[in-house]
Amino acid sequence: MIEVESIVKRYGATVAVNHVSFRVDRGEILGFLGPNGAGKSTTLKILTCYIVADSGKVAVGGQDVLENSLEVRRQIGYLPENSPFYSDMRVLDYLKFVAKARQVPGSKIQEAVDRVVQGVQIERMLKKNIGHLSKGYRQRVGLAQALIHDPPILVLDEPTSGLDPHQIIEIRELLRQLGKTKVIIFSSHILQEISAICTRIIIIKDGRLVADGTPEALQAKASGRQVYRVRIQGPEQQVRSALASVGGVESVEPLKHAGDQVEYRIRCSDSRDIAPEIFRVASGGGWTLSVLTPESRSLEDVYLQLTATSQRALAS
Amino acid sequence: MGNVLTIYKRELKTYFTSPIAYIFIIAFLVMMAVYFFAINGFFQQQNPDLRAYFLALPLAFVILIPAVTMRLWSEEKKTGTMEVLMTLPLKSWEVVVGKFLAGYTVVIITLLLTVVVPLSIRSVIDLDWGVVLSSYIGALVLAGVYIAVGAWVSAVTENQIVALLVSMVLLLILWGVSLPQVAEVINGLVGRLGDGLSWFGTFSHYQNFVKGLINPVDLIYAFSMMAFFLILNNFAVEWRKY
Repeated sequence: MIEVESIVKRYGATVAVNHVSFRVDRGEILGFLGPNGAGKSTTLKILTCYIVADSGKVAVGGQDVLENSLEVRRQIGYLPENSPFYSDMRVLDYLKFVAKARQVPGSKIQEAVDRVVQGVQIERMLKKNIGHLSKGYRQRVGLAQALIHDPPILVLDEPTSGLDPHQIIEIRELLRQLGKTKVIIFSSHILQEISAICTRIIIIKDGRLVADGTPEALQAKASGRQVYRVRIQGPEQQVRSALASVGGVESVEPLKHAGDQVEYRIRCSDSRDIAPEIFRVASGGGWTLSVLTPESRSLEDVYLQLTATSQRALAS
Repeated sequence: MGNVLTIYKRELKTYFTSPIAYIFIIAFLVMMAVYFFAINGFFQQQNPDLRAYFLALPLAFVILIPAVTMRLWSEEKKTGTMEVLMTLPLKSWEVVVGKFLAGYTVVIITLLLTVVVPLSIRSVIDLDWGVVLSSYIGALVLAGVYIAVGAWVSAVTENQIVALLVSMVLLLILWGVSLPQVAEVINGLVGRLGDGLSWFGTFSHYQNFVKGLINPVDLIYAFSMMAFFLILNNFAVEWRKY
């Protein structure tokens, strides 16, 4: 559905997007992940024909963004970052304007407006000026305008930024529904949002693509070393040395004290499951073991690992 | 054409839902009335006619038309709405023309309202209505040129105040180069450059209309100027992508 081939975009001396390639197929919800300023928005702007790449090729639905820009724009519903909409227009007028500009036939406009208004639940806001809406409702208006022509592709730039947890869950649910029939690309700098609904994740950093795969594949890539969290009631020094003596344990780190219980993080040098041994050590010492959970490395670790260098550079 | 109309309607509605259009219309009418009845001393003239009034119109335009055009593009750029607008499946010229026509309409409405001036004095003096009509045609096409210049300037900056001031200066220059006195000064500096530039200025063409002459050359001049600046406007919008 979407093919991006080695696109480059420079702004003066900075390279915003540096030879990024990927493709998105029908039925995918693609999460575009990366720290702020990584080149996410720039890439999305190129896909939606708002700007033109310095080099590389982009095709949407088989149409080249340069040769058939109008055709590409027809297939895409786009929610730009920060939902910039005419603040002096009323919601209803705005949706009608976008429908007309998107060449929805006159007789179908009311139907299209009703459909999207219901879809994002803004029935009560129709008479209000967009400028008077809260951030959450503005974002919904943004989704409504992106959906008004029922496009096969949705491109959403940070659709959940600035929303409260309830609204985030609602939007996620909506995207999951829409993802059944549409290709969705959405960007975020927050991993949880993306891993919750995406079928595929692309991580981009400093304009370069650093990872591309399903959430599971990325997670598998990261795991390899087992980490456990345990809570044990017993003398700290003895417990620590006993735990450290278990084969495969690399380090034991006390995390917090709750009464006479202490919580530890145990890092192993490989992926072997040593939970039974930990249990045995605790019962052998006559201590009470109340928590024993494997802390498998999450996607977050992958993300942090892949995007870390810039933060380290900032810190130094 | 449907797309042009969609943009046109939205722009025009924006002018009239915000105070801009009303302020513009009132400011223009007050300015022209004060000039006409107070400064110009209309009733003290020997043979009163509307020539001085029509010759003052373009200068009022220089000040007020940029106020109408300044927001056309810069506001979209500043607030980011440009991103939605330019990702709609519209050709850029359709947006350019739609916006131009909306700005033009505000000025045309204002110009129609000034008709009260000739109407209010028709009982006092004997007006040559042919000359009044040709003067109005001149003012209309002149306004078109000004709107096209202002819209283009607005497309190259995201700052409305910059758009306002730069278009004022450009329009003043465009007006000034065809004043005989200015042409003479430039002639004195470089050969016959003043005469050449003079042809491109608005004044030399506009004054024919005020004299009662509707000369095809002057009409062609005005429409070519509009086309030229609309094309520049379109380039400005297209180049933004790179």
